[in-house]
Amino acid sequence: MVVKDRKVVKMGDLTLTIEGTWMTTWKDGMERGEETRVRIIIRWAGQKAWSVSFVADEGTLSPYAGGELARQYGAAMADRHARHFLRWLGLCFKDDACSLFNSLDSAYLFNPEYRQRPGAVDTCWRLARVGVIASTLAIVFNQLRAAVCKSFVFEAQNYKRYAPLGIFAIVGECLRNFANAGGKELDLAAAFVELAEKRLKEVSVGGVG
Amino acid sequence: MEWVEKSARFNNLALTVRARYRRLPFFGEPSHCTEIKVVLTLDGAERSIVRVAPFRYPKTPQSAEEEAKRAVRRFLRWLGFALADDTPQLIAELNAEYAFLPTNERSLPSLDCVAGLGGIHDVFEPFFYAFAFLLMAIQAWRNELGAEIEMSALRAQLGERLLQFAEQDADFVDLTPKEVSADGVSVR
Repeated sequence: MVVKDRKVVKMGDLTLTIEGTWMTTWKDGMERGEETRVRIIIRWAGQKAWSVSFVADEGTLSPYAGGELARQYGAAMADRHARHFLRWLGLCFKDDACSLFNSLDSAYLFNPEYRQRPGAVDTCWRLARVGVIASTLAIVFNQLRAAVCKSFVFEAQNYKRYAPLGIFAIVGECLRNFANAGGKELDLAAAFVELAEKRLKEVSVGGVG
Repeated sequence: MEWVEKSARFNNLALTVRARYRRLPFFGEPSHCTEIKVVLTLDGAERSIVRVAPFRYPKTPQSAEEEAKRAVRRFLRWLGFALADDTPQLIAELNAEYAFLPTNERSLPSLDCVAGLGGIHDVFEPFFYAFAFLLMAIQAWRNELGAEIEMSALRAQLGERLLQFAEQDADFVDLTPKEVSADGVSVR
């Protein structure tokens, strides 16, 4: 069984499709395990799309296997991991390395600092796993950052207006809001303008007050 | 430049860690890299398991040979800490190389954090192979011996020896214990 969940983020010439896929895995002719994979398809206007992916979760088959519940469970898992990725991407933009690190750690438990006597095999395995996710994050972060820099936001007039608010921090917040809301498609440019204008209004009201 | 190497043996397993610093044949960043290569040979077989990975993209070092030696030492130290199950120290050593841990004293850009973790992932393939094969060799030796040897104590001692070897100028060490104490706790 394969269940997919797609979320699309558009910014200028770039379209990112974050695709969470939950699937059952087979061994010896039997459905024995499950795996959730996150694939990010990067498409620049007029260019061939390419993708990067990682396995976000794997394990033994859930007790829901084989019925409608499995489909619902798979959809929830696919959605959950796609949203996790968007949240991490948001934290990259906010340049909040502490929260990003803690969030990755709470998902994959690779930092032994807060755990009692973790084994080296376990820690190394978890570190290697989180490393794949971090590499993917770095690639997607750079692509989206390039798209933001090429967009209208960095035109002189807009830049002057929005720069004091922290352009990338606002992009990060838009991504986080989108992940929390559980939407399917985000027009990042529109969301950016909406949030930035709201912030500007708050600042000017605060300033007058 | 040629590979710099150090080898260790445990029973029937030979582990060779090689490193070299080299300039990459293209322009732009990064244009140089330290590579690490792990060769694992069981029972002196002709065929070996070889894994190569970028160790890191350093700032231009003073000497290519020194950088390669440093990479080999560092890699062996990680193996030593992993063998000794000293994960806090292992993480600290990895952080010294890849700077991925944000701390209160140091504000770290998110990109550095994810790039550091990604770098660890690159070098972890050879590391995992070496670590897993060493663990298997230790377990097999213990089973062959049939003695009641406490695994954690044995691993701690071997880890300690590997750490010492990493800092020495010697190119080879035989880690196979020659004697086992009556209580099975200490080996020499």
